[in-house]
Amino acid sequence: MAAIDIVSSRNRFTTPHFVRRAAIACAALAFAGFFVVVFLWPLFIVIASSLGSPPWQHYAANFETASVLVILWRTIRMATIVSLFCLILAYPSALALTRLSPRLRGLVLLLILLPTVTPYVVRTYGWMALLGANGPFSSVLRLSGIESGSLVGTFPGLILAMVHMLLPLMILPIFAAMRTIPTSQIAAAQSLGAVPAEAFLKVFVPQTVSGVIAGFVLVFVVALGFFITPAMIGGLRETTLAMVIYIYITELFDWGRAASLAVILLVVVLAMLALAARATDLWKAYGLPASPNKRQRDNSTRPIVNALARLARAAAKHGLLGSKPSRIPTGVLLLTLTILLSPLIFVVGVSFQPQRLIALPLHGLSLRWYEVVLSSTRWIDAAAITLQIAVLAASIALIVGYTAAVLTRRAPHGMRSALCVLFLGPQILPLIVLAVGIYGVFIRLGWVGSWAAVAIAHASVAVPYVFVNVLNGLARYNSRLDAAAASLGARGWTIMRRVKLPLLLPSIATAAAFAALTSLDELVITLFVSGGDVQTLPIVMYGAAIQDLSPELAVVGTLLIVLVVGGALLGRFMLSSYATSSVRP
Amino acid sequence: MTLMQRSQAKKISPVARLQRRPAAATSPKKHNNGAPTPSAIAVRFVDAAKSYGPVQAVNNLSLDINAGQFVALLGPSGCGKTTLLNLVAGFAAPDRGDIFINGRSVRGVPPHERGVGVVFQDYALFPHMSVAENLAFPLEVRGMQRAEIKARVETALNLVRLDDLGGRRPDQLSGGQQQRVALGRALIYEPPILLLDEPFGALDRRLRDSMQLELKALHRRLGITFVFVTHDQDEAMTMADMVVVMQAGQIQQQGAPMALYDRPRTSFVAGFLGDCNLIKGHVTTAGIQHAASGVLLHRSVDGISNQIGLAKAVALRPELIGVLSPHGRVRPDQSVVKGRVVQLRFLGREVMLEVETELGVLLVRLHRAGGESAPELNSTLRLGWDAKTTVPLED
Repeated sequence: MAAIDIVSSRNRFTTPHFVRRAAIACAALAFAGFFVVVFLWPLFIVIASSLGSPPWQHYAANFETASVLVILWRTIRMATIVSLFCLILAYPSALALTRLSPRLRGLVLLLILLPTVTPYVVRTYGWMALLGANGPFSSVLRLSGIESGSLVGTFPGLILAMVHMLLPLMILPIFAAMRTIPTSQIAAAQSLGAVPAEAFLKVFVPQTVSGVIAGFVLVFVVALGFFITPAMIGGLRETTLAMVIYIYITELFDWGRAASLAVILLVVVLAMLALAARATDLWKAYGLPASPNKRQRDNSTRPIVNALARLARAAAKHGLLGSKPSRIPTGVLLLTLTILLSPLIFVVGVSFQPQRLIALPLHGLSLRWYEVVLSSTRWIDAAAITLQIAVLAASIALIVGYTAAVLTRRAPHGMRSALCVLFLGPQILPLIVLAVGIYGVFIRLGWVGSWAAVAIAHASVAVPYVFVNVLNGLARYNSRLDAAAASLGARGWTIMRRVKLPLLLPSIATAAAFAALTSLDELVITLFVSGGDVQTLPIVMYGAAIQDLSPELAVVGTLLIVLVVGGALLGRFMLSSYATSSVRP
Repeated sequence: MTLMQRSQAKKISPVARLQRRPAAATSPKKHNNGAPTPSAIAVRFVDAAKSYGPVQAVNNLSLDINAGQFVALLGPSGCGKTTLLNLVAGFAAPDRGDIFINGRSVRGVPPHERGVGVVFQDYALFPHMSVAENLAFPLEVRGMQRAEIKARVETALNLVRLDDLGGRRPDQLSGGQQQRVALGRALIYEPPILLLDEPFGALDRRLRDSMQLELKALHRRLGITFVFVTHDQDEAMTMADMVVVMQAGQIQQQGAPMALYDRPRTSFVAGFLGDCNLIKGHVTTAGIQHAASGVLLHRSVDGISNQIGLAKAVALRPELIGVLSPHGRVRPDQSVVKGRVVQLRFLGREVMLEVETELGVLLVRLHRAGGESAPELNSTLRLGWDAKTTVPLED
């Protein structure tokens, strides 16, 4: 007996069993370390830095002068107006989408998603060129006798560009809500005696309220912390909170003031999210599978809906409402597509023009700027380092995100929400807050200026996409297939290789594509942690766009659009599963 | 107090309240030209046609549905039966022809003015409203007073036996309960006609049986016209007073279930309603004879005497075929054929045989009244049937 005991106890330390356990422990440590470095520690640093002596010192300083309050007010006003415009455009557009034939709907959805896979800097550059003093907007205004000059740096210009950036974020949740409403319900309401407008307002609209709230909150929250577009188009005249935080850190080196502003932004965002969570399933808005036992009663909106229905009925009685479906939604959808696609089309157009200044009408076509870009070491080097970072960031994000998804599926029910908060955290936080925090961590670790560190930072914002996509893939995966494969004689690894991975592949491929794309497009965190040494494409483009509107930018933008869109079209299934599962703000 | 008394008074006789009242729907347009007399005929189709793209869903169809009848529209999927329902409800407009509800043409009348009750296949309950709110919906849109709505909802809840579930949401109900809500909601405004689209499709077998009985009882109590669509022939035959068998957008045959079963006019109807042997022969002076063997399939030339020499099929129900003793006497009118048992299904009181004969494989249903043993597989049998009970088919 004793001999056997000795043998078995020795085995515990020498067999592959032990090695496996040790490997798992190391992996778990690395996994936990990742979230400490890119999420928990950054959050802690932001909050800790905001506290001076006395603790409220920096907060009090913020409110001593009116300027911060003015900027806070301006930021909230901008976010509110952008959200409202997005809603006004998105609701009819989504409605029009539901009425299209499936084929056409797929195509239009693709067109709506096309801008979202195009880098922000490229799109913002497109708007700068469109809205600039020589751009088509000013030209049209001049022709009609209004001397407007450049719209860049004006409030309307900023709103237009922001609406373009965030519109898909509003359309997708609303469309998702509308798509779940069977047409038989509208037919039922009419057979029960409701006039069409009444059926729409009492049966259709209430069921879309959760989608509207989700879309509104997503857009509002992202708009509050948005940096790139306000910095490039709003300029100093339309300064937002994110820009002030950036200036406090990079130019004034005042961490206390910057961190206190970041905390204020964070509190506003979390308050909004908490409010929204009462009315809608926010997990769903972030692309997670719907949480069970969540019932929504939209009683708060009921009086409004009833009043609208009464109005509709009265109007119908007096023949004010036609019984045919209105053409307005289709018109709005066309307007939406125009806003979404015009900067892309303009960027591509500008890249082929021969002059240095962008002016309309275009004077002939030329590949001159393509030659300039492709022979410039600045652009080529930037492309190389960007690709290098994207590959590393996507790899990290894939491994971490996949593990996170598997862990969440296996976790006991009570822990799932907490895990989701942790794994989605980098996406829920305003990007500027995360950037400041990660910058603080990287300073302490001495990582600033290292390309690998930039990749880790990029992975932090890419992980949520991987997490969401894989989690959805796993949710759709029928776990009885594992049992079936096992009953047919397959072992663990064979089941994984022959059954599970092939079925999860679309989710994983989509996740990988979006992780790479996120890195390719990342500017805000990179501006902080690159330390000026890591010149990625977005950094170089941002610098070039602020200096002048050189057509070189249009060329780089066009090449990026071709690269990204070509890749996306190659795997069209990626886009369609993306449309239903996750949203990239 | 008065309200309580009122609602209680209603509770005593829920049916009375839902008893006939003039239809809430009063269409503003009246086309009375050539319309049938009201009251007797609830729904009349006159040469109605409807196509979706290249598909002719309903093809020049005329049909009268009498008031108070329980009618089943029966046919395979894609035969146009649901389109027919949609034409009555107003969800689709006929390309040609006309439809009359209670003697009034409903051309151009939108669904919300037709006052017809519809129970949808997926029930189409409003998920954001409670059961009571679902039931109240048609009354609210009719601008009824709150107190009146409350009383009527209570009555309706009682009628469909959901008294305590008014506060529940549809997703908290079982399939059978959801269907009762859908029924109550479609009946609460006292429509003269109730349309049901595959009402039992989503229910499991046992629940289906009990809901069928319940629906039948409801029809008897309310006395209004029920029209329901189904592809299940058993369901159609157990429930309906009149079955309309449809195929390819046209009516194949209509009539009482028993008449349809006993006297099918076409091979489609014969094959669709229960098991049936369809045997091809040709008309002779004796009746209809099988060409190769000369076996008499049908003994009579009534109505087909002018078709002598032409090919004609007959329908022979499996239960009309009997097993004869090997050398017993053959009665007059009896047709006899020999065969080998190739397939045998035991169904409790009955045994279903497939017997290979010179007429082809015949289905034979043997009733084991005394629990006697069934023939064995591969045994040879002598089969016989009364040649007057077979039905000559038109096609």
